[in-house]
Amino acid sequence: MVIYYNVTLGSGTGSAALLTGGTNSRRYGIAFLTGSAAIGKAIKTWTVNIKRTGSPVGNITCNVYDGSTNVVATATEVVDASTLPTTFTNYSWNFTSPRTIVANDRLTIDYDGTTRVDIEIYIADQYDGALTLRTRWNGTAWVNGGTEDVAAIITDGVFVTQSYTHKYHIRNYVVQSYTHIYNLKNLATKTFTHIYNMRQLATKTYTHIWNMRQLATKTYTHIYNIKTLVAKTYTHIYNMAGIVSRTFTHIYNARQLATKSYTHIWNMRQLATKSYTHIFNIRNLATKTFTHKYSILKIVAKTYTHIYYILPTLTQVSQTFTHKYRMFQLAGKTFTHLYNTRQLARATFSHLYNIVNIVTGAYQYPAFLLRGRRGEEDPDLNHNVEDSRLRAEGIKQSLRRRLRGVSGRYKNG
Amino acid sequence: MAIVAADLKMYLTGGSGNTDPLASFGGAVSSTELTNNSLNNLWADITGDQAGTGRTRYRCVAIKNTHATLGLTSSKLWIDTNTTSTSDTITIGLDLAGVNATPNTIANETTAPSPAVTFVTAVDKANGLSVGSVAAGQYYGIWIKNVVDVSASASTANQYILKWEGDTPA
Repeated sequence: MVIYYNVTLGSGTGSAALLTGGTNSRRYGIAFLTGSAAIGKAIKTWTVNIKRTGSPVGNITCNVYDGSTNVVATATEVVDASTLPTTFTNYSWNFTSPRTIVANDRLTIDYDGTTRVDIEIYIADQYDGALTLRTRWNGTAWVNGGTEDVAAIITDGVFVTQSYTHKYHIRNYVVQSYTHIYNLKNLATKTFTHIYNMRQLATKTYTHIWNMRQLATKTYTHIYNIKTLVAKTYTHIYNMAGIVSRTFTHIYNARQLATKSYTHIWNMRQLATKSYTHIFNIRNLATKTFTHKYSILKIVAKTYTHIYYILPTLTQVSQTFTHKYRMFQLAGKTFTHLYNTRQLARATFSHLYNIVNIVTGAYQYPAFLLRGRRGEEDPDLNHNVEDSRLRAEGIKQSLRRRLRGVSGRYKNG
Repeated sequence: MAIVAADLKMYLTGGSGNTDPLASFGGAVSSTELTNNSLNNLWADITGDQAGTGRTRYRCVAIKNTHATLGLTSSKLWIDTNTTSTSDTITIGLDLAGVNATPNTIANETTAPSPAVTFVTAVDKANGLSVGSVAAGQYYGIWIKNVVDVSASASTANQYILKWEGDTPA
């Protein structure tokens, strides 16, 4: 708002009292005389410094009077004088309908009560010389000051306002959508799950455990019912201590397997014959692996030493030594049969053993066969050999005696 | 002579030589006065992409009392009319540097000033920013925040109006 009367508040050099009685001031304010700088301006707000002294009672109002002492404008605010502080304080009055000042208008605060309300003034002129000056109403007439001015601010109610307008566009998409509708029949991906049983298709391990005593020939017979022959190789690998590794290769043709039978037959001395029949009914055959595992423990190579004399004049004879021994501690055996169940065929396995120390000797008659006692539970044949050696030594001495006797007879005749 | 509306001007920031409203990101007050009530006088148009994703952007301007001698008192700044578009709004805040002090700067229009400025809707004078007294020739930094909603509708010559008002000696 435009402040056209601005006599600094708070720095006044005097004060004036409003109170009732006698010629005391009941109204105190500003007179705008002819030629005043404020003429033509609106009175929107008026701010003055006032205080109480003593205990005033009554209201303080604010009015504009024309030259005929008519009230031409009244401020909205009414102040209870008893609430005033005892030091000068700013109080403002606003005019809802601002009065445009004309000559001889007077703007005052009005109080007609007991002691008292004071208003701040300047003793010296502060604004517009003698054309705008302080005035007071003494109950019967206006009394203007000489050079005094009321400390106050008057505004015209017209604000200094500036508006700023900012403009810009907001763009947006222009979007068109096209929807194509059609049917998809049976085009989705499907997953078919076929569930079926497979009998005995899991990996199985068959463990055959037996004792082998004086094992000789073994025969394994695998009998297959086959369809559609296909070449197939089976490999059986043995690791037999003292005999070195062996590889058995079975080659045969097979035809798409249906029902199969496996028959393992072998002879075992002292253990009789055993047959294991494995019968599979395989549906929806896949590749299968059957693993048969076994161990051969403490099979050792042995060397037998046979000592004998050959008499130079004796008839040569043939002698076959058959050494039988026990294989102790044969426990678990494992047979590994690998096959493609679609390619089974008939096969015959022949296992051949070499028996070390089979001696074929030629002897002159009289030949003396050195025999050890056969200990059923004592495999240590050295004991027998020692026994044989002692016997041989006795025989040898006997022969010498005989030879000496023969020689004596040759010498003698 | 009292301060009149024409004495209350709005300037760009972004350096004393900045003439680009789109670079009014705080810092020294420009000698270029913002052209009032003209298209793109502070903000670039919102593109279709930006309208789609929404956008929050900032500007810093300086309101200046260019009266030769008189100071403006009890002044306030408020948003007299918010945006004509219903798809965006503005809020305003006082720069923390205060009166006649170089405002803070931001790197780009989408960066909020830091330390944070308090942005308010300032719908009228009573709720406006208290700029207070601005002596002759002095200025105050003002931040303006524009929030464009996601999927904002198109709007031609979208605009808002700020109002700065104060008391002036005669």
